[in-house]
Amino acid sequence: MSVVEIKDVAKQFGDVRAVDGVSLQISTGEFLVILGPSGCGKTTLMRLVAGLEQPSHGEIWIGDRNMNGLPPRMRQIAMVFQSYALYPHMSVYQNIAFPLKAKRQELSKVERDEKVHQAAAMVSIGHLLSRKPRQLSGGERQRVAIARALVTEPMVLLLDEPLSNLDAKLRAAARDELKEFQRRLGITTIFVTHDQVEAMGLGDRIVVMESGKVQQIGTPQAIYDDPDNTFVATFLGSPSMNLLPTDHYELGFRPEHFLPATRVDGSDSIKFTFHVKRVEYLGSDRLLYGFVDGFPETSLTLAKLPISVDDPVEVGSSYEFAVRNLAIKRFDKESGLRWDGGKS
Amino acid sequence: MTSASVPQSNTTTRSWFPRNLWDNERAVGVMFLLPAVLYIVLLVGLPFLIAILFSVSDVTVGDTSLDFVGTENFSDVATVDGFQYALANSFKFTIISQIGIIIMANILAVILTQQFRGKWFVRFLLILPWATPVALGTIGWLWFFDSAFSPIDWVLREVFGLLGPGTLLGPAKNIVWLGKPELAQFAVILVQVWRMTPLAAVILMAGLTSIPQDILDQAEVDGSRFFRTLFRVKLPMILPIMIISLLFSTIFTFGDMTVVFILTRGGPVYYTQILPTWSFFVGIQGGDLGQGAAIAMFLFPLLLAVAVVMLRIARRTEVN
Ligand SMILES: Nc1ncnc2c1ncn2[C@@H]1O[C@H](COP(=O)(O)OP(=O)(O)OP(=O)(O)O)[C@@H](O)[C@H]1O
Ligand SMILES: [Mg+2]
Repeated sequence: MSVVEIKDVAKQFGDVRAVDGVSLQISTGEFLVILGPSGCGKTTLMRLVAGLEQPSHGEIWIGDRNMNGLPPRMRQIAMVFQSYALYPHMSVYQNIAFPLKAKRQELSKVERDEKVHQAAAMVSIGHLLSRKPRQLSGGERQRVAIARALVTEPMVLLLDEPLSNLDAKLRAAARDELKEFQRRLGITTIFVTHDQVEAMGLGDRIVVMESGKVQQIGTPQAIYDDPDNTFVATFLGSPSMNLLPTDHYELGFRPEHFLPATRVDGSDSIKFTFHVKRVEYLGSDRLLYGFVDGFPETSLTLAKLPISVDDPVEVGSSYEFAVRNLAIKRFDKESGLRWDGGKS
Repeated sequence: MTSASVPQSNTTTRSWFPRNLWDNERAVGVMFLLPAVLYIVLLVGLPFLIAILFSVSDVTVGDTSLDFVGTENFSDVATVDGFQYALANSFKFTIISQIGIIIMANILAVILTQQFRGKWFVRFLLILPWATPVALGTIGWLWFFDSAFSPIDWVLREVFGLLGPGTLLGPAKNIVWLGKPELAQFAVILVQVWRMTPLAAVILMAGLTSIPQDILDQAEVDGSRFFRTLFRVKLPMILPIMIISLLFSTIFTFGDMTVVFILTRGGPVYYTQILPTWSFFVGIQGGDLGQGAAIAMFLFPLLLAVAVVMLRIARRTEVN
């Protein structure tokens, strides 16, 4: 059953089309990640679902009700902003209690108190309730924001880049925690990010967006292994997919699939002569930069060799490399769309 | 760099001014502070010291010799009726007008931070009372409160029929605003509110517009409506700014003599007398500089207290 349904929604700001004909269905308990480069309309889409913006076109349904024209407070959603937007003059307790009071839920003081403590306990900040936001670390603030979002038991939780203000180490921990916690509560979640690692790790499904349009929707694996177009192919993966122009189409394959020919099952693969121009050691991997015979020297090609592939590689030399046929994607040269129909 | 002829202006010291003086933070600091220090010493510190000196001496306009008389001036001025009115009124007018100012300024600031057509024009109108010289504005009000030709009276009389024989406000054809104690006091307070509200409103507007949009969006998502957002989120967030603005207008109102001087000259009798005007009447018009200075000295404790509070707030916001 779908909790949120976005039907052909568009949002126009002056002459910027921030969201351009997006359709999506999010099912109960799903963790949906919206991924895309900066300025592609992720936040705008989220604000449309929240009711902070009204769509110029299309409809947004939450829990079988058309939400067009309804203010945020009538949508049974909660949102966590990138800045966490904690009320600086209120204690943590007051912050968490605020939506309960504002939504005028008919609660006795005792019930409200209980809910605040429950929400705080869920994200383990029970001991911080009397502090002010400025006395908290970044990670603690994020938890307060989540507790405040959960206290009203919303149908949908909207998270706009909630991890981007944390340092790398804390971010990894917070990511695991968030996922674990979302599973435990089973709350339907829409999570916006421009970080592909975050998206791959968290999402049940990922929506890849670019310039206001949905490029592809699918599980992390489907998006990574079977990109629908060159945008998705190159946006995901680091380093990104090699694209080699041929007469008829663009040939795409990921650097980790581009290996010495001896390492690839010869019967079902394509061989290239690879001229290595530079080698980078990344600890667990080796990155080889170069170009392949038959293609211009300017179309840079990368190979990513895991530590287990210890063949000696010299800068300036040429080697026989190969890619399994299955790992090769073909894209239309004009439109960038998958040429071999996708879903291999 | 291939050419050696490029002038190395930063290392040559041909000018009379030693180049590296600019690198000496102490010297530069002193230079930048000097004008401010001179200003304060010459135009604030010195007159203040002279006032203290006068207040404990027998100096008058006619006899400018300074003979020490101890606290005689203070005990002399304190027992006079006019002084007691002035002291009480100074506090009364200041406190009541501050309440009016803060309420009006908040209402205006909230209205003027909403989106509507012609906002710039309304903002422009708002600034006028503040941009007008106090004396000019007050003279305008003097006409408003005129005993015979007051337009307020005219409106009450001719438009609403509330004034004149056989009406609600009595048989008289005029209210005579400045001739009755309570009304005269009300008039003085009203003009103070009128002239200080714009500045306070502008300061509060700056505060309101500096609240991050995220916080306001969050409040909306949390289900908060206009008045809850205003009283529980916006106003508490601009409280420090509100206090600063309140302190400013307290100082301006407490120390101002123009409004009373032009409207009522302290009358009727002593009912609108305040410390600055009383000090002027005794010290300058009455010629007893010592007593005038002593009266003015009574302004000092309150102004000092306000200044201390301000500095503490400033320091607290600096730490955060
Ligand atoms: N209120 C607005 N008025 C005008 N243009 C806007 C407004 N909000 C967003 N835009 C424009 O819409 C486009 C999408 O913005 P949006 O904030 O949704 O991007 P985003 O994907 O969230 O980017 P980021 O990852 O940087 O947060 C941008 O080009 C932006 O300039
Ligand atoms: Mg954004």
